[in-house]
Amino acid sequence: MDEKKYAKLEQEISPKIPLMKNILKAFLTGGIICLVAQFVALFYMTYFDFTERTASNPTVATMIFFSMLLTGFGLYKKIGQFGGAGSAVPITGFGNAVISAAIEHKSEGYVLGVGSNMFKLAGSVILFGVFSAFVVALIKTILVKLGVVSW
Amino acid sequence: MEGMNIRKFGLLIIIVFLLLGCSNVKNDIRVQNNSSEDPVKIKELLTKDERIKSAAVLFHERELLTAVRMKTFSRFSKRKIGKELEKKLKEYYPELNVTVSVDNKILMEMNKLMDMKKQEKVSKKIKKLKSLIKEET
Amino acid sequence: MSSIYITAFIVGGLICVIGQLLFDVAKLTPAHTLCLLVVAGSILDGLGLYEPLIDFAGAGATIPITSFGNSLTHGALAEAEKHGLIGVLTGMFEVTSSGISSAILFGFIAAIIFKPKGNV
Repeated sequence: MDEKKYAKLEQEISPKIPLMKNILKAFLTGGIICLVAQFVALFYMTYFDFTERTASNPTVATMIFFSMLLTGFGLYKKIGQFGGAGSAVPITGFGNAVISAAIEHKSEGYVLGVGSNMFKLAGSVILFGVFSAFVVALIKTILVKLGVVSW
Repeated sequence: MEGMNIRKFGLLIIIVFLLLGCSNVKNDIRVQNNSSEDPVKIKELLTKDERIKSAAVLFHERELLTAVRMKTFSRFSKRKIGKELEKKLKEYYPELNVTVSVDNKILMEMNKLMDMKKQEKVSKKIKKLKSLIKEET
Repeated sequence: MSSIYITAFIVGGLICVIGQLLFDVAKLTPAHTLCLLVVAGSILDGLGLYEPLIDFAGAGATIPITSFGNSLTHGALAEAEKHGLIGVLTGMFEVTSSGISSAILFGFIAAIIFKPKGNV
């Protein structure tokens, strides 16, 4: 009886625990990555002629550079195991997907291996990014032409 | 136990947001006047505006350069507020070239500019800042 | 100045929490999740909501993958605003994201420098 009760209790609780834990871990990991990026942006704003808005481009590039180093030394995988979506959703996760695929398929050659495998995950992200940008811009332009909304 | 953690965590977030609210109290506005214009009106306008955290204003020859920093939750609409301010300032000082920026970078540079002693360099710097502001929009 | 770090942390973290929920609750694969977030960023920009979020949270809004959809849409919309319907098409060829180009560049450099370990 006690064992049954325990098993039932465990079943009730156990799916919840990883979810809450995962959410907390994702929040912390993603938050820290964005915090680091904010400091990188401050660096570009202080020492170069970038405004708040234009600093985001070099910041993204720098974060992907960090991602390259972490991926190359096998550390990003560890961050991913801890952070889940917290490491996949930031742009560093996108960089990691591209970079790790590029390194993995190096042995098949630069054209057939690196070039074609680089975009395995990134390809779908780019496809949907470009396509949705097109659709949204088209819809908005038509709505503006009809006078429903303004720019 | 996990539930407790989550509750603590929620509490933490609430505290952080409250702290964000508290840190917004100070309102410092810095004005430097190198022209014959009357700076009282702009000072009053900026002080009265609850959404503004700090600002730097520089009158130089025919230029009026203003950089403002918004309070945390006004940052959402800071570009709109900036345009609003620019419109009002153009009404107040119709014969000046009014430029308003809500960018932190511009505020940083403005503060540097106002600490500068050499007056002949100021015009050049202003030109550079204005091109930076333009580049952004 | 200081409060932007707090908002960047919180907003960036919350976007990742949305991603985690899509992983764990909606049982989506990482690829599906990322695509969904990119599309969400694109739609938010169309509604004019993403730019205010960037003003509020800085890197907390520009670093998550949602900003990728935002920057592409923003470029297309900027062209469309100038040239109308034709601008949508021409704008599509002009938009770039520093995220894509730097990922490609650093990916290639990494392939040259690093050796595959089988566990990257």
